[in-house]
Amino acid sequence: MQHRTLDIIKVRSKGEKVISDWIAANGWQLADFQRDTMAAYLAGKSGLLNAPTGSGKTYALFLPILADFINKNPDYQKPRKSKLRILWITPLRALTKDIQRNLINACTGMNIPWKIGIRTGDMSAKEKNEQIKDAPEVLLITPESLHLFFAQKGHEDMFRHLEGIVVDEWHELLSTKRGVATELGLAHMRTLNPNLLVWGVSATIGNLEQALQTLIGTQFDPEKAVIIRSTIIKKVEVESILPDHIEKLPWAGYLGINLLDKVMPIIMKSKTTLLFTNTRSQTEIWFRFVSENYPELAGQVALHHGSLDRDIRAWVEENLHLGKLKLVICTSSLDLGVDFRPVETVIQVGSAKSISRFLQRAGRSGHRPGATSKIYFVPTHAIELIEGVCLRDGVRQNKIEERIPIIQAFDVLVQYMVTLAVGGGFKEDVLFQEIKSTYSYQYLNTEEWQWLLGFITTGGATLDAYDEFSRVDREGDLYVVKNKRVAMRHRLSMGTIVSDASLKVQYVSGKYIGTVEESFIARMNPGDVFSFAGMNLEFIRVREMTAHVRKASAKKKGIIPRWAGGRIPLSSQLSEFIRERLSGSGYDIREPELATLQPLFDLQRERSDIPDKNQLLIEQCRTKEGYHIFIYPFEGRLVHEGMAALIAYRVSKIRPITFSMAMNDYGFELLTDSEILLEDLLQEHALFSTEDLLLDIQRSVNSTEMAKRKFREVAAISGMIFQGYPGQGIKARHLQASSSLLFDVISEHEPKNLLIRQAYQEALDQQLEERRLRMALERIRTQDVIIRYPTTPSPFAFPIMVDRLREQLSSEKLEDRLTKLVRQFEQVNGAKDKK
Amino acid sequence: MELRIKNNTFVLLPQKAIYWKEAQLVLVSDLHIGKISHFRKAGIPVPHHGSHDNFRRLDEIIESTDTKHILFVGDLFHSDVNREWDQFCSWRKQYPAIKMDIVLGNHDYLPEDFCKNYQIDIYPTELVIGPFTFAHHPREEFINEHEYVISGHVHPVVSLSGMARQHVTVPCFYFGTQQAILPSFGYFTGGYAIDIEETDTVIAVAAKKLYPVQLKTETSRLGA
Repeated sequence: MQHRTLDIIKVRSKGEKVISDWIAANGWQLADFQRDTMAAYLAGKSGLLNAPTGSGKTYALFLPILADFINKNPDYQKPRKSKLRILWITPLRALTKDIQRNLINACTGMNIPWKIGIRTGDMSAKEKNEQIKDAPEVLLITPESLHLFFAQKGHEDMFRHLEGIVVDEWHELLSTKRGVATELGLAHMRTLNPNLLVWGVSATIGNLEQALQTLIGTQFDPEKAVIIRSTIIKKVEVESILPDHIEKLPWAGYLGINLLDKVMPIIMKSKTTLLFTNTRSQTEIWFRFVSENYPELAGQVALHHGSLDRDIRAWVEENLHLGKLKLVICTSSLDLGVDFRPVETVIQVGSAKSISRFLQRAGRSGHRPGATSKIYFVPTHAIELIEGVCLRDGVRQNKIEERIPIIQAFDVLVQYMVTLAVGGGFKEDVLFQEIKSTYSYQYLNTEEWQWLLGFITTGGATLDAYDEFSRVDREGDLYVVKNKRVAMRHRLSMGTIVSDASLKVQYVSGKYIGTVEESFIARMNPGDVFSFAGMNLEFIRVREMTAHVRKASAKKKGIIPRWAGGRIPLSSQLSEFIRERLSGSGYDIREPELATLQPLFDLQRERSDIPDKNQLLIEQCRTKEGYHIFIYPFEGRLVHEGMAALIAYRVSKIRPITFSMAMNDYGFELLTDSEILLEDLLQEHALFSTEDLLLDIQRSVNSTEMAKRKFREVAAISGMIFQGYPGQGIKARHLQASSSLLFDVISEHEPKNLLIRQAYQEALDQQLEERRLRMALERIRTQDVIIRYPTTPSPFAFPIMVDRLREQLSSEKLEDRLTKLVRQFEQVNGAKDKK
Repeated sequence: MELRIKNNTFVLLPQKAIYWKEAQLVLVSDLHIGKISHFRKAGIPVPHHGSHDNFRRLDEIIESTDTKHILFVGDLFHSDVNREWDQFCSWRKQYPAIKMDIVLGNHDYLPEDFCKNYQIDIYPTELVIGPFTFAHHPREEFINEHEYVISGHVHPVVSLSGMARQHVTVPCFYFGTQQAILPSFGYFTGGYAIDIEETDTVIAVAAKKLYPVQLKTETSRLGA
């Protein structure tokens, strides 16, 4: 450390001198990673800074930016005509205020007359124009707002003097389509100014090198980019909330409310607690239970989730910041965000799914440097308790998951091309080079590029006298949008986050509360009561995409809305720990979770078995529902979904049969209406083989079903589904079609459509996780298969069996299935009606 | 497949239309002509070949029946006039001998000279022929117990579920005690799941075949 101290003494530049004087005057010290970032930035390098929240990462990047400015402008305190020098991209608008405060603080402290601006979607057109005319030196912006800039004519002028871009919380954006949009934005800026410095900030992830690559693109000299790691290690303690007896926990479920009385003393003891749940409905339910059972906490408990109105969320965040709340029940909506210093305790209800997510949440407490973060894990069903010990294993061994960037997302590209065409137009060759320079589209070939150009100009049509397609036009070598309505619709529907058709919820008096899904409101009659934002609301009517409500008496218990949301799979790291802990070698009774689980595992062994690391457990049993096969690879639900479809398809090739499938993170079920002798089948057929894996997956009907689901987002992003907006006339509905209908029509007439292909690819990459599936199958090949025939479903089987969200796969002819189904349907429903 | 209602014979066609034998009349609902072009004009690239499928099936129906009259029970068109309408107009003129009428639906924004140009007569809300009332919207209440209403609008589909949690959802014809609803005929149209009661008869349509679903075992009480 000695040489470091020397570095500060012989400061080389004026900028560094000014900065270190200011630091010293405040009685602070620069951490090592802050010094390293300074040196790298001033040496003209781009890079990625790996530092946790609350460690001073904002100054780590902003101070070098100021130092650079001072070096280049010795009269740096002199007021001058302002120009946009730095773009600061953040994933959440909620973060911008806090960052702005920090940046202003530094500027004021050193008498640097910089303006720090925020660009948001709900600024008025006038404010936006003023911001362009009188640009701030630093502009804080989300990826979406940045793209909205690109949809304005003459946006290039705004960025002409840009010197650097900072991308905050890059790990959050990296493996999402918002990340792809950010990559495109960075590439566009680089086209305007090739010497631009690009810096990202990321929490620890398993693939930091790749994260850097996505930021700087493929044309960048790797010598000029560095990764700087902070050496700050946060201490994290993990403790599970245990039931007195394992029977207190249900075998299946997702609420975790049974342990409320064990959780509350912990909350009472600490100043402020964040309680994370996995779904929005779960926060509403927890809020209700806490309010009912602990009325003394009234006014000190709040809830926070993504469907609540922004004002309500801001109020919660503010009061959290001020330490006025005892408990905030939240979803991932508070994963990121400003420093909530008063938070002492973090509780995770239900599976955290990945170690990195769990750590991120744990990091919301104990923000003081050096403080230990403590996080409690509350299982929602019995077997889930094992995840507590696995999370502790993961944290101890620091096994952090990767975040894989998305490549070849044609939908985002289509949107971007149209955005540029709206914003003054683009030239074919210039844009192609620009796009190829991104990590995401480095493999884009000319054939695909031509298809995309055709898609936005002719709508993929062959010559047809009747065709009237209109979107992007060609004017000389420029691609532009001339149709004003197309331009307007595009601006309104930009973005990559696709929400379900949702309605605003508003009091009759006018105040907005948030949004719920249209399908939920559709089931309500006027006078019905539902719980939302922790209140009981009486539904009155729907007007123009808004549900009007009034407060209902507290006595009535409202139904709780459910919001659709992807189910995150268990990460492969966490899955591995589970397989290990179930195994003889890892099964250590000294771990409190495993000791508590003992009676349940005994029962599992009694009815069936518990697989060792080198075994694959299969159970077959019969109930009145039909014939069940349960297979437990412990690989996470997405791999199980793929494997279920694969095995079902391979069996269905042997004879006509229809499967209904269900899965969780531990295993999957194949349910049939006739018996399958799996033991015999496994001897004759390589059901778990990796041979023809891709082909078999593609042939199984389910890849089509999965692709169809993926297509919803693809269609919305690429502008094929117009989501509409409040206040639209009846005729706007004439442009609405369901994505599954579009999928069917396009698949039938344009099988080579790239967006359809993308939907299949996304299903393979994300839904089926082909890579993990292949690895799992290879592992299974080395395992012994043990088949058990329980007479009653085992504890492992139960949570899977009761899952109603099911997939189907059939090799029976549609005619045969229909005939059979009609008969069964008539029998069951006819009999029921007669009662 | 044939159904008897009020002493008349209705033949259900797998093309998703109904042929009324006694009146030599074909009923078609919710064609949504112009929908694909409407989307394309707005920059949404729905494949434009789709519209041909509609005309092919209409031709098949005319060839396979002795129809003299086609009645469109609403949503023949989708929205603003576009060139797909011209395609329809040319198709219509191939059959000068067949009378064609339309009962207006909520999507039909027709130009003033429509009747003359298309040689189709307009009935703004409903048309009564014999014991039957033809309308676009299904009824919630009836004038009297003798009324029998045939309509469209809802694009009915039926979800069939059976053993081992299997299910299939397909378009269907719906026949209740006092009204019938046609499936949507248009190629690029969606569906809305309906509930079935014991007194109802539902005929599912899939893969150019009809599948009757009847919860009641005795003979149907249709139009009793």
